[in-house]
Amino acid sequence: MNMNNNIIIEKEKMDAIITEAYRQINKKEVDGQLKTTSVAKIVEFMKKELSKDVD
Amino acid sequence: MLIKNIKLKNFRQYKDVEIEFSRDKNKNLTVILGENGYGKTTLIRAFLWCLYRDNGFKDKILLNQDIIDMMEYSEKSVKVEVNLIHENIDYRITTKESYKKREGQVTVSSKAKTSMIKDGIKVPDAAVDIEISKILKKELKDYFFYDGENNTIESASKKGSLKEAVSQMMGIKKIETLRNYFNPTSTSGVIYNLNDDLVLDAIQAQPLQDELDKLINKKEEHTVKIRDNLKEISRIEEQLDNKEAVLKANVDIQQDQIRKIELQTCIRESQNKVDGDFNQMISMMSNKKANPFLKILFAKCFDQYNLERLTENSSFGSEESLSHISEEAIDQLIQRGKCLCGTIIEDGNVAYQHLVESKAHMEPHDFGKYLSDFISAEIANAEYSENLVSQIRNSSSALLERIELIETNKEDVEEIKKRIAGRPDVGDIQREIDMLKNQKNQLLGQNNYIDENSLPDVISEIESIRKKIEKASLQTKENDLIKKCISYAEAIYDITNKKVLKAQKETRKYLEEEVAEIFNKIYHGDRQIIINDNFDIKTLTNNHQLDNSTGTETVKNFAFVAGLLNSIKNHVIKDESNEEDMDVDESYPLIMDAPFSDIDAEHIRNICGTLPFYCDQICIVLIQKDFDVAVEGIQNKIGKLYRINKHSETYGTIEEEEIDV
Repeated sequence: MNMNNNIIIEKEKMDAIITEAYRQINKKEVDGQLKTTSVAKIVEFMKKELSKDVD
Repeated sequence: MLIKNIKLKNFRQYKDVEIEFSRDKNKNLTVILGENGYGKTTLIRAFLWCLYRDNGFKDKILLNQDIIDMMEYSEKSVKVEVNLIHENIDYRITTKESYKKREGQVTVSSKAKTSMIKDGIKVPDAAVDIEISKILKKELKDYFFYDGENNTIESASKKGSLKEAVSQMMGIKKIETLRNYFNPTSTSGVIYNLNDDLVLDAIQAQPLQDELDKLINKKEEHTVKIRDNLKEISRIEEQLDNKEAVLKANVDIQQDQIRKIELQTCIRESQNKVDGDFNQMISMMSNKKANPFLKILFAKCFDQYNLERLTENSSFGSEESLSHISEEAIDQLIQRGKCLCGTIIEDGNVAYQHLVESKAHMEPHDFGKYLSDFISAEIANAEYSENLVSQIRNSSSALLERIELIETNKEDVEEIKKRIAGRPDVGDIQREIDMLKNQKNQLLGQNNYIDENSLPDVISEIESIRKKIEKASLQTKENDLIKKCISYAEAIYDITNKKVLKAQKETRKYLEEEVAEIFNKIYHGDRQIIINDNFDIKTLTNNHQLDNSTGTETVKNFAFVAGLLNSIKNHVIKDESNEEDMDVDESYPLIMDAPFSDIDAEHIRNICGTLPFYCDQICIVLIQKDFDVAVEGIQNKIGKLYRINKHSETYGTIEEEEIDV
């Protein structure tokens, strides 16, 4: 657990996001260039994952 | 990646060649013997052409010359097939190019096209290059397919792609890519994307809340107003009940009260009419024509002078009357002797006589005319006066009647007053009742308006503001979530950035140690290996960088490649979140056309004897002389042995040989 901008960063959640990001990147990545669809999927996953405990 | 075999069809001098590569861990070395000019480099380039369609030959026609000579109108093809295993999956990669011959000229009829069978399934053509890139990026090819003739490692290093290659192969690239996705400065990255999602114009809830409070107060004011009005209406109704009770209790005098009012009204109206009639009479009598004194005087004159007969005794109004011509005018004409019409007037003639007679009809003889007019007018006045007298008489009668009525009514009123003396005035009560009813109706009207208009409007506004507050509240929540995501993204960036820097630092250290160890085994001089942060490899002697001979450069490059492969095996960074990634055995082949011409025998022995211990799969293409030097050190590692046979300049074969060394 860590603090960033007064927001508690939970390791489990961060690991889940990293795993998903790797999954998306591995699916699309071939030349190291950022892929719009990958970014969108990662953002979507982050919102879903982090909204779980947002009232 | 480990190579199973390569098959060449019509590829330059190799019409039909197949080479199996040893994948035995203990005997991982495949040796291909061939003298200079036999086609050793062609073998290396066959791999590059198959995987990347990279044609490094001056003559771009790859088709075997014998085939070209024999072909007529039919197409002929060049084909190279590489079978390999990568991440435990079988791949068959085939590149084929077709040629045609027209009038002795050979041209490409169908450009080189690469196809792939992955795990027994054909990969769509559009995805083939991507799949190959996943196996081994093109930028890394020079490190694994070593073309000694062109010293490709050195040239690749100079292109600055070394760091990229190391990063890719050591697994740092994956973390770098992840870091790039979360880089706050990347305009296409996750954080920029999240920032775009922030609702920048979010309606602030507080001003809306203030507005809502005002509206709620307004609604309360309306409610209080309705309540107050209802209280007032209740009070009015109470008064009305009392008043109406009084009215009811005095119903017996109501008729008298009404009669009294009617009579009083009548008296008031009659009085007004009497005043009007009297004024009219005064007006009539004040008229000049109606002066009674004149009338009497005139009557006396009229009778005395018999004025009524006056007109009958004069010539007024006759044909002869010349009342507008004077006697002086006639005298002037007679004196002139000539009439206006031109007739001569002479004393005694007809005209003269006629004019003299005319004088009798002229003033003052016509004064009677004026009298006649006067008489006529006075006759009219007399008639008017007679009418006036009649009118005055009539008016006087009506006036007297009205005065009498007033007096009668006044008497009646007095009688009524006597009868209702001491009783309330029901008229006043009725007026009070009417006034109260009017007040009540006004209050009811106010309440109706509030109920039907003001209150619904306020309620509607309240609903609207509440919805806005709800929306603003949701937007705030969305922003909170996005900000949280950004914080996580920034944290991930920090972590991955540190991880990348740490990995680069450690990798440089491992690599330097590995390369130095191998270099020291191969090189028999006194040089030290240094690898900087860009993974550029240098040799130092007593801490000074000296120019290396070609042989030393070759030793250095082989040491680097072997060290890199060993580092990959021992220190590659794996994606811990990816189970498949963790299971993958990071193996790479080293296919090298060994340029040992500038290297002494000891170095040849060292290179050939050392590399198989650091590589999973190695193929060395070399000449017999160098093999003879190296064989002692590598004989236990050789799994496959081939020899290139040159039958002609356009035809070569590769035959497997028994390993009996």
